[in-house]
Amino acid sequence: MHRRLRPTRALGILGLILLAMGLAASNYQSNGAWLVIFITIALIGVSAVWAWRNLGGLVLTLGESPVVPAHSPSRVPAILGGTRDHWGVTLGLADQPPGDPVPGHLDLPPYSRGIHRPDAVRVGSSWPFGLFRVEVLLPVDLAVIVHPQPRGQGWESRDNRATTGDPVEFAGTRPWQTGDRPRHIDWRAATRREDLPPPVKTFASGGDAVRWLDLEQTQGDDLEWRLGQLARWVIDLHQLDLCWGLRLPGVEIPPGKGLGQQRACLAALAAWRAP
Amino acid sequence: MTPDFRTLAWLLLALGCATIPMLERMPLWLPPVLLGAAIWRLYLAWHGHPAPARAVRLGGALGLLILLVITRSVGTGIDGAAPLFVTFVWMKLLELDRRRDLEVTVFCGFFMIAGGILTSQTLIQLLSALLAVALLLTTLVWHQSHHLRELPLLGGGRWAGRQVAVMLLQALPLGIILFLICPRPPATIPLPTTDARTGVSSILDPGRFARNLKDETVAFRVSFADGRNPSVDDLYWRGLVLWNTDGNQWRRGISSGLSQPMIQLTKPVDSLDREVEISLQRQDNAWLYTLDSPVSIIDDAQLCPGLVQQVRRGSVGSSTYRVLARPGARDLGFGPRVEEWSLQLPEALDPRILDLADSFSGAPPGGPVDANLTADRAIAWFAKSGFLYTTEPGVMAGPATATFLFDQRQGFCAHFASAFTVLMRAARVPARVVVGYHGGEPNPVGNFLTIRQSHAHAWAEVWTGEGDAGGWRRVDLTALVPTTDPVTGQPTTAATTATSPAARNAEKHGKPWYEQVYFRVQMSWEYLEYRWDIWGVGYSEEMQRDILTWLGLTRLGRWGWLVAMLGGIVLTAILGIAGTRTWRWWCQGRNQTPAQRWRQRYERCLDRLGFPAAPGEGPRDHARRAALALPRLAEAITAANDAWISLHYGPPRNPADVQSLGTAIRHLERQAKQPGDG
Repeated sequence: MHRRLRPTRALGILGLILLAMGLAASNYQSNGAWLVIFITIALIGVSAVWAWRNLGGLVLTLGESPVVPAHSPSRVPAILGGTRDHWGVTLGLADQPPGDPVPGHLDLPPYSRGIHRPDAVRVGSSWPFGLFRVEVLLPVDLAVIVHPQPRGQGWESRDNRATTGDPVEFAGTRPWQTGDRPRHIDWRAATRREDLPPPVKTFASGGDAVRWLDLEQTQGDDLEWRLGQLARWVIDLHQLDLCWGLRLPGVEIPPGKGLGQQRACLAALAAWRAP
Repeated sequence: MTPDFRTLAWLLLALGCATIPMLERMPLWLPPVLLGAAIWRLYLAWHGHPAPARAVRLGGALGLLILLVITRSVGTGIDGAAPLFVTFVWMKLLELDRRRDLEVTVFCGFFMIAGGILTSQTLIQLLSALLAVALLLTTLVWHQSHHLRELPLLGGGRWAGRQVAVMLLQALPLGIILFLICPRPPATIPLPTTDARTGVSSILDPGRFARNLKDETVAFRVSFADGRNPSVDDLYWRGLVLWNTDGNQWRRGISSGLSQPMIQLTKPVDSLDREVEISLQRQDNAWLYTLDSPVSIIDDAQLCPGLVQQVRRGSVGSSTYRVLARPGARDLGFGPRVEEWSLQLPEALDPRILDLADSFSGAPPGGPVDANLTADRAIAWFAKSGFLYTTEPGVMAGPATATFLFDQRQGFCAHFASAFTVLMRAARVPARVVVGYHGGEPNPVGNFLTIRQSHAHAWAEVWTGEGDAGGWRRVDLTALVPTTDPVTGQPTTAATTATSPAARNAEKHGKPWYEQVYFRVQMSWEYLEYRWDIWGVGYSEEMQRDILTWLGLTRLGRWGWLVAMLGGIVLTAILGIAGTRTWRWWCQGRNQTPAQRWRQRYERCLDRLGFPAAPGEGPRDHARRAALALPRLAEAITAANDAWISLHYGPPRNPADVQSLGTAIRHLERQAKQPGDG
């Protein structure tokens, strides 16, 4: 962990004022003023130590890598903790100017389509007096999935039949995964079993339940626009809680549903490059 | 980023504290205007409005500047600059718009504090300055810790204030060390100051009421090198000698540069001389006070006729100095010019005075006069003629001396000294008036004397001829005259004055306990002030050299000294840090079960391996994460963690389980130390 301390402009201003105070004190031969000056100098030293210690022992825990549309800013939940409190901390990406001092999340800039992996987060603080700025570069494991901006028609206007989905039948249970709806948890079974995660009821749809999304289904010359149309459908299908698969040239996401499926499809759309 | 209401409120509080010492230097109309403007700014911040427009700010500042110039509140030196600077800083509050504005304002507040100290460096001033510094820093801490601004004003402020207090406590020793060993640059431009608050006037005007008589302000403090205070009769503090009178007022009457031939300093005799250390409060007089009579010349001072010691240039300021003195010794300096000065009389002299003087001398005109005999007769006449000592003689009509001698016969030291000197001169006995202080209040806490403005005194001296029994003889008539009205029995003095330092003390002992406690506290405070005057205000290059010599640093030369100083700072810092760590470790160690201490060792071990516990992560997850990443240690980590979990979360076990936890953790530590992929 690389920690760096550098003086700020405020320290320069204070230095000038101390110089003026020193001139006045020597002209008036005032030991009282000298004492105030020396205590201030000592305070500068103490504040440097405090500023340095303030960012010691930092542990940054980031939330799940976000999935965001292209060209829009986003934020990742972030918990800054450690063995003690840290004051006046700002979070920002290493290659960006320091972010706003809002604890609780890391602001990400707008990205273009793709999967972006910022390698480090800069945690900085000017606490306690703003005379020194201490910065720490913390390596992070973050993959920002930037999918194409959703564009074009929604799924409903394309396929009116599918708005309500087909009748579903119970198809057994499986362990709970992120994104499963709480009302699908088999609570009765969960109370009987001690280990987590609880079982979740799964439902099988009818024969025509799987919708295949394909780049071929979209029209137009602009490839980004067509990918955007697919992204819109992926989001809509997830909203409708339907089951779908995705085919791109060279990539196929098998049919599925839920948050995990949406994430996989959007990631595929984000990462896809024309062969 | 406009500072919010709370930050502004803190800043206002801190600036107000820093401004209080400057209040007396500002025109009366300025503080309300500035405070009003600040409250306006607070109001704007409260409603979330930005700072006022630039035109408004500039107009306001310009208006104030013009007002300051018109009312002649601006000038040179501190007194002239203070109103201007205070105005600037407070107007900056209006402008406060960006982060840096706030910092600049806070630092200007620092400068204001230093300015307040420049004019008066008493202990109380210093403590209030430190308080103001702490408040300003609290504002900065408040400003820098974003989460604090969500807290209520007082709660967050208390937290920030506690941080600042700890930092100040840590900085104080370092600051004091710097103060003691850092060399000071010499004064480059001597600047005027008019903050003298004590001292006697160089003009003695017995006709006017002397305001000094009730003034409890400390003039100077004195300690004797041998620790024994002389008796009150010997406590005459010589200041200035006045030679010239116009019948009402007395002035010095000679130019100060006159020196050497007419001055004789008595040769020091070890057994009789007392070494006195005098710590003077700030004065703008040029002369220094000495115990009568001085037998050595104060460093950097020059000796003037009448054993007056004064600085060569400028004013005394506040200083601490040592002088050798022998109570009872007489000034032997005399010569034709001194004789001329000490026989000067006002042109229009009341004939009654001449008659009275002739009756004392008993000598024919032009014949030799016995000075001692004449003085004794005059003293006897004063003692039996119904004179009364009073601090409130009222205004005397006509020529002051004649009115006092023949009509009023009531007065204080200045009247007696002045009238006696005029009488002696009329009788052709050289005489002069000495002004200074008499007495001194012993401080029961520290062994020193406090001389207050109320101890101000004047007495006469007459020339009694050459030789051992001659010299200038001191005549203090106030000791002879009663201070109680013979008719009414009422004391004629409004305050218990100079003559008896013990009287104040004794009087206080008869008082109820709380007044005695107050007296005690007051004396302790004055003792602290005295120490501060000597070690703080009076800290001189010589004392610094002594300290450096004592530390053995003067032998090191310039560079060695610097290296030693830096080394000292580093050493102090290391000692401080080590001390803090030990203290924290000890604090943590207490109130913990042995199992918890083992658990800490376990966590430190994983920390060293690069796997600190994440916030909110339970012990099992933490261990699993570390074990997955460190397959070589996986077994040891799991074992140690399981032991802890069964001990901490499981049902109560016997003490042997703690030992097995310890074994597991020691095993983990050993494994971690072994070279490998860890």
